[in-house]
Amino acid sequence: MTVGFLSLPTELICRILLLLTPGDLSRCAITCRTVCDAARNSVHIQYKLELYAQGITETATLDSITFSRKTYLLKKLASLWRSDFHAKIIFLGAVGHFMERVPRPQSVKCGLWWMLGDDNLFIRSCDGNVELSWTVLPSQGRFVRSVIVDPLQDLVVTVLLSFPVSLHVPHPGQDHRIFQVEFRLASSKLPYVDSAFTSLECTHTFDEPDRIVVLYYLNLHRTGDLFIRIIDWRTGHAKSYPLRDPVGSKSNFHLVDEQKIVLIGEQGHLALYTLHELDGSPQHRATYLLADLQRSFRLKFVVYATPLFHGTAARPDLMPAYVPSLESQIMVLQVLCHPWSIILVIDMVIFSRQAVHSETPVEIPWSDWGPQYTWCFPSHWSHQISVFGSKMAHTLPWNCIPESGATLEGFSDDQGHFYVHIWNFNKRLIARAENTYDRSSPDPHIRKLGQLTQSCFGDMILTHHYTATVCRTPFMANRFERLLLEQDRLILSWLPTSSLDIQMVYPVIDMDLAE
Amino acid sequence: MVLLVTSDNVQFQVDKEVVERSVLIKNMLEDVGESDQSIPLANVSSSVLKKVIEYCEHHRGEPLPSADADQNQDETRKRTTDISEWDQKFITVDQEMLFEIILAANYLDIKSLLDVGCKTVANMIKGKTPEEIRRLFNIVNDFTPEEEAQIKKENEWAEDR
Repeated sequence: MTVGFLSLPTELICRILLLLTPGDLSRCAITCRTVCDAARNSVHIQYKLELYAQGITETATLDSITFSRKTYLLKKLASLWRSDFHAKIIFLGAVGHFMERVPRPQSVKCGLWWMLGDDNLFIRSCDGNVELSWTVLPSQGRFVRSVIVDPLQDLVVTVLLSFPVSLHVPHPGQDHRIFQVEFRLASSKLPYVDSAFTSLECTHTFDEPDRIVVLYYLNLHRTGDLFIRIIDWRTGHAKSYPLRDPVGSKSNFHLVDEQKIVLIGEQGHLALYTLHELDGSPQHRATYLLADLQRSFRLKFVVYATPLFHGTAARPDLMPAYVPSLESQIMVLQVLCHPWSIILVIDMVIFSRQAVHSETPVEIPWSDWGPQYTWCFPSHWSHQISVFGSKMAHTLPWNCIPESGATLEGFSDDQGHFYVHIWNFNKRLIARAENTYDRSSPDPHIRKLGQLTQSCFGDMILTHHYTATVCRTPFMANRFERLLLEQDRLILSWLPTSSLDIQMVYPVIDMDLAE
Repeated sequence: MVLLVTSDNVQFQVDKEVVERSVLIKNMLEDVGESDQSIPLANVSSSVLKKVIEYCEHHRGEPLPSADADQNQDETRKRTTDISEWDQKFITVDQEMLFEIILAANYLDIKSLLDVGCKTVANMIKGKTPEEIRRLFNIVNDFTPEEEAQIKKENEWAEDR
């Protein structure tokens, strides 16, 4: 008998299989029993496949995890956000003392929650060990327009506008001074670098490890131009660029990865730009158009997406064990428009390969991407949304499954309770669940979208699947403020009086409670 | 110099520095100490050992991977399936020799050679259909049609969109 592939001992077959992509691996496993069993019985292979299915990648810190730890993590990953989970409170706390009851920006990244309130920045670590810290933002004669806290970079970025706003910009080509951006170390509150730019309207700011991107709007010669300022905060290099194809002054944007940025225009079309590596000059690559509006609605878009995790971290200890890979992420556009608001869930895979190389921007009609890469639901402004990876947390009444044509009702203050629904749009997990899992098991239920009859875009027929689970623990709807989702936790906040109540919960299943 | 004897009773005189790229032999020599005794390699034939020695000669003096890296399957997983030019040329052999080299490298505990072998096999599998893989490695499909359909269905999700 000659020596061949099947003469190799199982551990060597597994060693080879581990070098393959999941696609090649699964095709190889179909060839015969020996290979199939080798793949099924190898914890290393199953672990690799599970991470791939969940759409997450390991970060460097977990490089040398052991066999038994992998088995444990496999179990843990499989039990997260199951359909019969309860909320286990990790901490409760009250924050601040505010003059009036108004919504305030708050966010979470890598387990560090923060909120901007009355020029104070409140930071709290989710592990429960670190007490709340707060800092007064320097705002003499100016007001804080936008704040970003990146715990991974140990960085607080504040965009300040002079008050009263007075500005004279003679030339769009000039490096105008419109706003001031301040960089501070999150841990020591000390200034990092000072770059002074005077200010006008700064729409939004977002950070990535090495660059800060600020989008702002200038009423130059009454034309209304949109600019983007790319600041390399480590070197102090900063440059502004006018966007040739302005998407409107009310634009919002999201950084897809180190080099891609998506602008969401007033009409809801998505303009994809790439940022060139050296100085970050933006190049327009493609525009994804939305379905035609039914009437002359005024729309407002709110974007929900996962924070960025790439780059060298100043605080590697805060880096989560897994981060969602781009191709498994979703971006949610909440389209607010009375009375037919909708939620548009967009598969970010469209930004990961398409159109990035075209020299002239291409326009992609809705019919070419929408039906294939989006999910659409009716929505109501009072229902909170938060996105992490391929999952979306959504506050809804108990048995409410908003997939029919009905308009969603909002919560009123005396309505009692709401429930947190977790929807997962990961196509691999759904495809796997459809083929292998027992439908009666408590794993997430697969749902299918139907026809959405009443929306600002008219009828929408989308037929993809998603999974839905509901947290069995009710939460008070009265004065509910914000919902924030991370890999394995939820942060909820209420604003009952002059202080904010925050609650952090972990998902647990019945078995965990019994332990 | 160290004297190695293959399964088909051929003797090889090899530099100690070269032969110590094999962790198995290195440990043996450490256990035995200075001795003129030959080392029998019952699992390796002369034609395969010739190739293995050629590999070790070329990579003479390069640092050996640390012991704990060998335990670490993640290292293997994370590395790409790129192979250096010389190794590529070296490993361009018929399939039987390729698998013999992999088995020998595993037996002799030469991690870098084992990696080259496994990566080569992985590269051969890349992008092929199950039927092409069967033909490539002479694998007999021992599933019943129902089983095959079921397994196919279970694995469908891993196909890239």
